[in-house]
Amino acid sequence: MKIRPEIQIFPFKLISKETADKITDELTRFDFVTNVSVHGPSINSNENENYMVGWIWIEVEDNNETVQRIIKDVCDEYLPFGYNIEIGRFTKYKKGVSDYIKGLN
Amino acid sequence: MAYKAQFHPGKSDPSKNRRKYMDPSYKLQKIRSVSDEDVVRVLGHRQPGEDYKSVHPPLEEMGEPECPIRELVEPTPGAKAGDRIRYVQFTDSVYFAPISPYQRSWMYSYRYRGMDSGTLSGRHVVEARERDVEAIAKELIESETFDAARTGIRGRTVHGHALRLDENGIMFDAMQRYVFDKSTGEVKYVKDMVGEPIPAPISVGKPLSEDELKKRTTIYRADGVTIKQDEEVLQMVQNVHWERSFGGFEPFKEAKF
Repeated sequence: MKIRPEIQIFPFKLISKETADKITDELTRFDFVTNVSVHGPSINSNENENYMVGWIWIEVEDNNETVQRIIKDVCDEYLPFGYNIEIGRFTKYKKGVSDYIKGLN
Repeated sequence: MAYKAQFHPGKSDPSKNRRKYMDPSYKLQKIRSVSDEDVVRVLGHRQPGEDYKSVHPPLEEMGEPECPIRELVEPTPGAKAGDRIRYVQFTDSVYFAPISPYQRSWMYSYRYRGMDSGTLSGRHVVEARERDVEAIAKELIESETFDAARTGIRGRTVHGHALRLDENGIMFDAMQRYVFDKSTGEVKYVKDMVGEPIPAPISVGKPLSEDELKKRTTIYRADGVTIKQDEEVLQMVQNVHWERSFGGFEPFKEAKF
């Protein structure tokens, strides 16, 4: 199984759902992006649609300079207050022991 | 020579602000006005206009025993009436909030009577008789120690003081008790302290600018004024640390920094 690398975007401010949507929409248009996931602090409220996003993980086919430059361009446009970019693997990509016990695939 | 309290050492802005807030003779600057009714709504302990519930009859009717201390100490209005104990809790962001929980504790101890305060890392709770709590809350919300963006009135789910701010510079609130109105630039409370909706939004005014906050803050920070820039404060902190660590162990030893 090929483990694809991920690029993490860590904005210096918690971004709104709207901004996160714009970034994900922009990124999913590219062929080299296989998955985009967002994560943020949990909301304890009835209006759960107003969540905040603190991390964006972009799974890519191959991590090279062109890919990074494209992602940076998108970030520069929507995150004027600054951000960090890190490369690695940040989300789960295979079944773990507890998933096996729960019977998840 | 009469003793004059210094309150806090140091010459930097945060030190001056700490001193100012702790000095009971300094009147806190009023920067916004919130009506009594709105304060009651935000606290959510009773409905506006509702009677205060009591846990004992008024002190005058009770017939207190003879006691020199009772004669010496004037009871607070809430204690006189026999109110319940209620609370108000504030969360202060680490990003240059005008005041932080520890200084709140110091400040309250100098300024208010008949209250019990509790300091935690990001929040500060104060308990007192119901009408005293309302008076304290009103004064604090209207004063310079409260910023619309960096201070929150939160009874529960206080998490957020150390989280990144949002795009508008507002502190994260998991219960979304307040919203930022982009058209007016004001922060409005749409829920009370524990997250119950309130009939009409309550405006607490516009957030202060970053520069203004840096002037008003009591927090030493690496990207503002660091504690190392204020020698006297650093000396005090080291003194306290030395005496706590070695005071009971080898007290004959001299402090070395």
